[in-house]
Amino acid sequence: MHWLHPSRLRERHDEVSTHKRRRFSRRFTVVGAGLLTALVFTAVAAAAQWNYYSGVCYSDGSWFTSTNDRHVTTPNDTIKTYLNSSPGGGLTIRLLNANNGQQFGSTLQFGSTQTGVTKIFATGVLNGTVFHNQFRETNAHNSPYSWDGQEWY
Amino acid sequence: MAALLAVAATGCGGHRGAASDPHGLNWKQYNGEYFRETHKLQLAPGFRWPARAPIAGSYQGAAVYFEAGSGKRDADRYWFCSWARRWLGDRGSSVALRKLWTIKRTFLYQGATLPHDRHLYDDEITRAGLGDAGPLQNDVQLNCPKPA
Repeated sequence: MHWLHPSRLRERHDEVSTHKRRRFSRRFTVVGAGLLTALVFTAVAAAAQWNYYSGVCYSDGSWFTSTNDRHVTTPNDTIKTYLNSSPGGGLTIRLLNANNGQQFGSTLQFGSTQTGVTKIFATGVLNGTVFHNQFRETNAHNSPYSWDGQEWY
Repeated sequence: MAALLAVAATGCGGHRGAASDPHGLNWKQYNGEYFRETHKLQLAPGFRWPARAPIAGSYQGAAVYFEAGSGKRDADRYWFCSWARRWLGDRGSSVALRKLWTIKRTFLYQGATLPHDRHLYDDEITRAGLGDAGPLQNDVQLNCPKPA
Protein backbone atom coordinates (compact mmCIF):
# COMPACT_ATOMS: atom_id res chain seq x y z
CA MET A 1 0.00 0.00 0.00
CA HIS A 2 1.30 3.34 -0.95
CA TRP A 3 1.44 5.70 2.00
CA LEU A 4 0.39 9.27 1.43
CA HIS A 5 1.28 12.20 3.60
CA PRO A 6 -1.88 13.65 5.27
CA SER A 7 -1.59 16.87 3.29
CA ARG A 8 -1.46 14.89 0.00
CA LEU A 9 -4.39 12.80 1.21
CA ARG A 10 -6.39 15.97 1.74
CA GLU A 11 -5.55 17.07 -1.80
CA ARG A 12 -6.70 13.70 -3.17
CA HIS A 13 -9.90 13.95 -1.16
CA ASP A 14 -10.46 17.45 -2.47
CA GLU A 15 -9.89 16.29 -6.02
CA VAL A 16 -12.48 13.52 -5.60
CA SER A 17 -14.93 15.90 -3.98
CA THR A 18 -14.42 18.44 -6.71
CA HIS A 19 -14.95 15.75 -9.32
CA LYS A 20 -18.16 14.65 -7.56
CA ARG A 21 -19.28 18.23 -7.24
CA ARG A 22 -18.70 18.75 -10.95
CA ARG A 23 -20.61 15.58 -11.81
CA PHE A 24 -23.45 16.59 -9.46
CA SER A 25 -23.38 20.08 -10.91
CA ARG A 26 -23.65 18.71 -14.46
CA ARG A 27 -26.53 16.43 -13.43
CA PHE A 28 -28.25 19.27 -11.60
CA THR A 29 -27.83 21.52 -14.62
CA VAL A 30 -29.43 18.93 -16.91
CA VAL A 31 -32.29 18.23 -14.48
CA GLY A 32 -32.71 21.94 -13.79
CA ALA A 33 -32.81 22.76 -17.49
CA GLY A 34 -35.42 20.04 -17.99
CA LEU A 35 -37.57 21.38 -15.18
CA LEU A 36 -37.17 24.94 -16.40
CA THR A 37 -38.15 23.90 -19.92
CA ALA A 38 -41.22 22.08 -18.56
CA LEU A 39 -42.19 25.13 -16.53
CA VAL A 40 -41.68 27.52 -19.42
CA PHE A 41 -43.66 25.41 -21.86
CA THR A 42 -46.40 24.70 -19.32
CA ALA A 43 -46.87 28.42 -18.97
CA VAL A 44 -47.68 28.64 -22.69
CA ALA A 45 -50.74 26.47 -22.28
CA ALA A 46 -52.65 29.03 -20.20
CA ALA A 47 -56.40 28.56 -20.19
CA ALA A 48 -58.84 31.18 -21.41
CA GLN A 49 -60.19 33.40 -18.65
CA TRP A 50 -62.15 36.54 -17.95
CA ASN A 51 -60.02 39.67 -18.33
CA TYR A 52 -61.07 43.01 -16.87
CA TYR A 53 -61.10 45.90 -19.31
CA SER A 54 -62.50 49.40 -19.45
CA GLY A 55 -62.55 52.53 -21.54
CA VAL A 56 -63.76 56.06 -22.10
CA CYS A 57 -65.68 56.87 -25.29
CA TYR A 58 -65.47 60.04 -27.34
CA SER A 59 -68.53 62.17 -26.76
CA ASP A 60 -69.08 62.62 -30.53
CA GLY A 61 -69.30 58.89 -31.30
CA SER A 62 -65.81 58.48 -32.78
CA TRP A 63 -64.12 55.11 -32.48
CA PHE A 64 -61.32 54.54 -29.99
CA THR A 65 -58.68 51.86 -30.66
CA SER A 66 -56.87 50.29 -27.72
CA THR A 67 -53.10 49.82 -27.80
CA ASN A 68 -53.19 46.61 -25.78
CA ASP A 69 -52.51 43.36 -27.60
CA ARG A 70 -54.82 40.59 -26.47
CA HIS A 71 -53.36 37.10 -26.88
CA VAL A 72 -55.56 34.05 -27.34
CA THR A 73 -53.85 31.14 -25.58
CA THR A 74 -56.45 28.40 -25.96
CA PRO A 75 -57.16 26.32 -29.07
CA ASN A 76 -60.58 26.85 -30.67
CA ASP A 77 -61.30 29.73 -28.32
CA THR A 78 -64.49 31.75 -27.94
CA ILE A 79 -64.10 35.49 -27.40
CA LYS A 80 -67.03 36.97 -25.51
CA THR A 81 -67.79 39.86 -23.21
CA TYR A 82 -70.18 41.44 -20.76
CA LEU A 83 -70.29 44.93 -19.29
CA ASN A 84 -70.37 45.96 -15.65
CA SER A 85 -71.19 49.54 -16.62
CA SER A 86 -72.14 51.09 -19.93
CA PRO A 87 -71.92 54.55 -21.52
CA GLY A 88 -75.16 56.55 -21.46
CA GLY A 89 -75.59 56.06 -25.20
CA GLY A 90 -74.71 52.35 -25.17
CA LEU A 91 -71.50 50.72 -26.40
CA THR A 92 -70.50 49.34 -29.79
CA ILE A 93 -67.35 47.23 -29.70
CA ARG A 94 -65.44 45.12 -32.21
CA LEU A 95 -62.19 43.19 -32.56
CA LEU A 96 -59.33 43.98 -34.93
CA ASN A 97 -56.76 41.46 -36.14
CA ALA A 98 -53.20 42.38 -35.23
CA ASN A 99 -51.93 41.28 -38.64
CA ASN A 100 -53.90 43.70 -40.80
CA GLY A 101 -56.11 45.89 -38.63
CA GLN A 102 -59.23 44.33 -40.13
CA GLN A 103 -62.22 43.28 -38.08
CA PHE A 104 -62.89 39.65 -37.27
CA GLY A 105 -65.99 38.21 -35.63
CA SER A 106 -69.13 40.20 -34.87
CA THR A 107 -69.60 43.82 -33.90
CA LEU A 108 -71.40 43.82 -30.55
CA GLN A 109 -73.83 46.44 -29.34
CA PHE A 110 -74.85 46.91 -25.72
CA GLY A 111 -77.68 49.21 -24.69
CA SER A 112 -77.07 51.54 -21.78
CA THR A 113 -78.92 49.17 -19.42
CA GLN A 114 -77.51 45.93 -20.86
CA THR A 115 -75.03 45.19 -18.13
CA GLY A 116 -74.32 41.61 -17.14
CA VAL A 117 -75.43 40.29 -20.54
CA THR A 118 -72.79 38.09 -22.21
CA LYS A 119 -72.40 38.35 -25.98
CA ILE A 120 -70.06 36.49 -28.29
CA PHE A 121 -67.57 38.17 -30.64
CA ALA A 122 -66.18 35.06 -32.27
CA THR A 123 -65.88 31.31 -31.93
CA GLY A 124 -63.24 28.88 -33.16
CA VAL A 125 -60.47 31.45 -32.75
CA LEU A 126 -57.05 29.92 -33.31
CA ASN A 127 -54.58 29.58 -30.48
CA GLY A 128 -51.99 32.36 -30.73
CA THR A 129 -54.26 34.95 -32.35
CA VAL A 130 -53.54 38.53 -31.29
CA PHE A 131 -56.25 41.19 -31.44
CA HIS A 132 -57.15 44.71 -30.28
CA ASN A 133 -60.44 46.18 -29.09
CA GLN A 134 -62.07 49.16 -30.81
CA PHE A 135 -65.19 50.80 -29.41
CA ARG A 136 -67.51 53.82 -29.57
CA GLU A 137 -70.57 55.16 -27.87
CA THR A 138 -73.46 53.96 -30.04
CA ASN A 139 -75.62 57.06 -29.57
CA ALA A 140 -73.23 59.97 -29.16
CA HIS A 141 -73.45 62.82 -26.65
CA ASN A 142 -74.94 60.78 -23.83
CA SER A 143 -72.90 60.87 -20.66
CA PRO A 144 -71.41 59.07 -18.87
CA TYR A 145 -68.86 58.02 -21.49
CA SER A 146 -66.93 55.51 -19.43
CA TRP A 147 -67.57 51.79 -19.27
CA ASP A 148 -66.02 48.64 -17.91
CA GLY A 149 -66.51 44.92 -18.20
CA GLN A 150 -64.92 41.52 -18.66
CA GLU A 151 -63.67 39.93 -21.84
CA TRP A 152 -63.17 36.19 -22.18
CA TYR A 153 -60.30 34.89 -24.31
CA MET B 1 -64.81 57.67 -8.96
CA ALA B 2 -65.79 54.92 -11.44
CA ALA B 3 -64.70 57.15 -14.32
CA LEU B 4 -61.36 57.81 -12.65
CA LEU B 5 -60.79 54.09 -12.17
CA ALA B 6 -61.65 53.41 -15.81
CA VAL B 7 -59.21 56.06 -16.99
CA ALA B 8 -56.48 54.60 -14.82
CA ALA B 9 -57.11 51.10 -16.15
CA THR B 10 -56.94 51.97 -19.84
CA GLY B 11 -54.26 54.61 -19.65
CA CYS B 12 -56.42 56.96 -21.66
CA GLY B 13 -58.44 59.94 -20.64
CA GLY B 14 -58.30 63.69 -20.86
CA HIS B 15 -59.63 66.01 -23.53
CA ARG B 16 -60.20 66.29 -27.26
CA GLY B 17 -63.51 68.15 -27.59
CA ALA B 18 -65.67 67.44 -24.61
CA ALA B 19 -64.31 67.27 -21.09
CA SER B 20 -64.63 63.50 -20.96
CA ASP B 21 -62.90 62.75 -24.28
CA PRO B 22 -59.83 60.48 -24.14
CA HIS B 23 -56.36 61.54 -25.33
CA GLY B 24 -56.36 59.69 -28.61
CA LEU B 25 -54.27 60.13 -31.74
CA ASN B 26 -56.07 60.89 -34.98
CA TRP B 27 -55.16 58.80 -38.03
CA LYS B 28 -52.47 61.24 -39.19
CA GLN B 29 -50.87 61.28 -35.74
CA TYR B 30 -51.08 57.48 -35.57
CA ASN B 31 -49.21 57.27 -38.89
CA GLY B 32 -46.71 59.85 -37.67
CA GLU B 33 -45.98 57.73 -34.63
CA TYR B 34 -45.68 54.65 -36.87
CA PHE B 35 -43.10 56.26 -39.17
CA ARG B 36 -41.08 57.79 -36.33
CA GLU B 37 -40.78 54.26 -34.95
CA THR B 38 -39.68 52.86 -38.33
CA HIS B 39 -36.69 55.20 -38.27
CA LYS B 40 -35.44 53.49 -35.11
CA LEU B 41 -35.74 49.95 -36.46
CA GLN B 42 -33.75 47.99 -39.02
CA LEU B 43 -35.79 45.53 -41.04
CA ALA B 44 -34.38 42.17 -42.06
CA PRO B 45 -32.68 42.20 -45.47
CA GLY B 46 -35.17 42.07 -48.33
CA PHE B 47 -38.02 43.78 -46.45
CA ARG B 48 -39.32 47.33 -46.81
CA TRP B 49 -41.79 49.39 -44.83
CA PRO B 50 -45.43 49.68 -45.92
CA ALA B 51 -46.71 53.01 -47.21
CA ARG B 52 -49.03 53.47 -44.23
CA ALA B 53 -49.92 52.06 -40.83
CA PRO B 54 -52.40 49.16 -40.98
CA ILE B 55 -55.56 50.42 -39.25
CA ALA B 56 -58.02 52.62 -41.16
CA GLY B 57 -58.85 56.18 -40.09
CA SER B 58 -62.63 55.85 -40.26
CA TYR B 59 -65.24 53.15 -40.02
CA GLN B 60 -68.93 53.33 -40.90
CA GLY B 61 -68.74 57.10 -41.23
CA ALA B 62 -67.19 57.74 -37.81
CA ALA B 63 -63.61 58.84 -37.24
CA VAL B 64 -61.20 56.38 -35.66
CA TYR B 65 -58.83 57.51 -32.91
CA PHE B 66 -55.96 55.56 -31.45
CA GLU B 67 -54.53 55.15 -27.99
CA ALA B 68 -51.00 56.59 -27.88
CA GLY B 69 -48.48 53.88 -28.73
CA SER B 70 -50.62 52.17 -31.37
CA GLY B 71 -48.35 53.39 -34.17
CA LYS B 72 -45.23 52.22 -32.37
CA ARG B 73 -46.83 48.86 -31.63
CA ASP B 74 -47.71 48.28 -35.28
CA ALA B 75 -44.27 49.30 -36.56
CA ASP B 76 -42.60 47.09 -33.95
CA ARG B 77 -44.73 44.15 -35.04
CA TYR B 78 -43.81 44.64 -38.71
CA TRP B 79 -40.13 44.80 -37.73
CA PHE B 80 -40.37 41.67 -35.55
CA CYS B 81 -42.16 39.82 -38.31
CA SER B 82 -39.45 40.66 -40.83
CA TRP B 83 -36.83 39.01 -38.59
CA ALA B 84 -39.12 36.10 -37.74
CA ARG B 85 -39.61 35.44 -41.45
CA ARG B 86 -35.88 35.81 -41.97
CA TRP B 87 -35.17 33.23 -39.26
CA LEU B 88 -37.80 30.83 -40.60
CA GLY B 89 -36.25 31.09 -44.05
CA ASP B 90 -32.73 30.59 -42.75
CA ARG B 91 -32.84 28.64 -39.51
CA GLY B 92 -29.14 28.77 -38.96
CA SER B 93 -29.23 32.53 -38.76
CA SER B 94 -27.89 33.54 -35.36
CA VAL B 95 -28.15 37.17 -36.48
CA ALA B 96 -31.91 36.82 -36.96
CA LEU B 97 -32.26 35.08 -33.60
CA ARG B 98 -30.33 37.84 -31.84
CA LYS B 99 -32.54 40.44 -33.54
CA LEU B 100 -35.68 38.61 -32.39
CA TRP B 101 -34.51 38.83 -28.79
CA THR B 102 -34.29 42.62 -29.05
CA ILE B 103 -38.10 42.66 -29.11
CA LYS B 104 -37.72 43.04 -25.34
CA ARG B 105 -36.62 46.66 -25.90
CA THR B 106 -39.65 47.55 -28.01
CA PHE B 107 -42.94 49.20 -27.15
CA LEU B 108 -44.68 46.14 -28.58
CA TYR B 109 -43.20 44.03 -25.78
CA GLN B 110 -42.96 46.55 -22.94
CA GLY B 111 -46.09 48.60 -23.56
CA ALA B 112 -48.63 46.87 -25.79
CA THR B 113 -48.20 43.33 -24.48
CA LEU B 114 -49.75 42.75 -21.09
CA PRO B 115 -47.18 41.64 -18.48
CA HIS B 116 -48.63 38.15 -18.14
CA ASP B 117 -48.40 37.61 -21.92
CA ARG B 118 -44.79 38.71 -22.47
CA HIS B 119 -43.53 35.18 -21.85
CA LEU B 120 -45.26 34.16 -25.09
CA TYR B 121 -42.57 36.03 -27.05
CA ASP B 122 -39.83 34.71 -24.77
CA ASP B 123 -41.07 31.16 -25.25
CA GLU B 124 -41.36 31.24 -29.02
CA ILE B 125 -37.89 32.71 -29.43
CA THR B 126 -36.41 30.29 -26.89
CA ARG B 127 -37.97 27.36 -28.70
CA ALA B 128 -36.76 28.68 -32.03
CA GLY B 129 -33.26 28.77 -30.56
CA LEU B 130 -33.68 25.13 -29.51
CA GLY B 131 -34.71 24.20 -33.05
CA ASP B 132 -38.50 24.17 -32.63
CA ALA B 133 -39.91 26.60 -35.16
CA GLY B 134 -43.57 25.78 -34.42
CA PRO B 135 -44.64 28.62 -32.11
CA LEU B 136 -42.79 31.30 -34.09
CA GLN B 137 -44.23 29.94 -37.34
CA ASN B 138 -47.72 30.02 -35.80
CA ASP B 139 -47.22 33.63 -34.66
CA VAL B 140 -46.11 34.66 -38.14
CA GLN B 141 -49.04 32.92 -39.82
CA LEU B 142 -51.65 34.41 -37.48
CA ASN B 143 -50.35 37.84 -36.60
CA CYS B 144 -47.81 39.11 -39.08
CA PRO B 145 -48.70 41.66 -41.75
CA LYS B 146 -48.05 40.65 -45.32
CA PRO B 147 -44.65 41.99 -46.43
CA ALA B 148 -44.94 45.27 -48.36
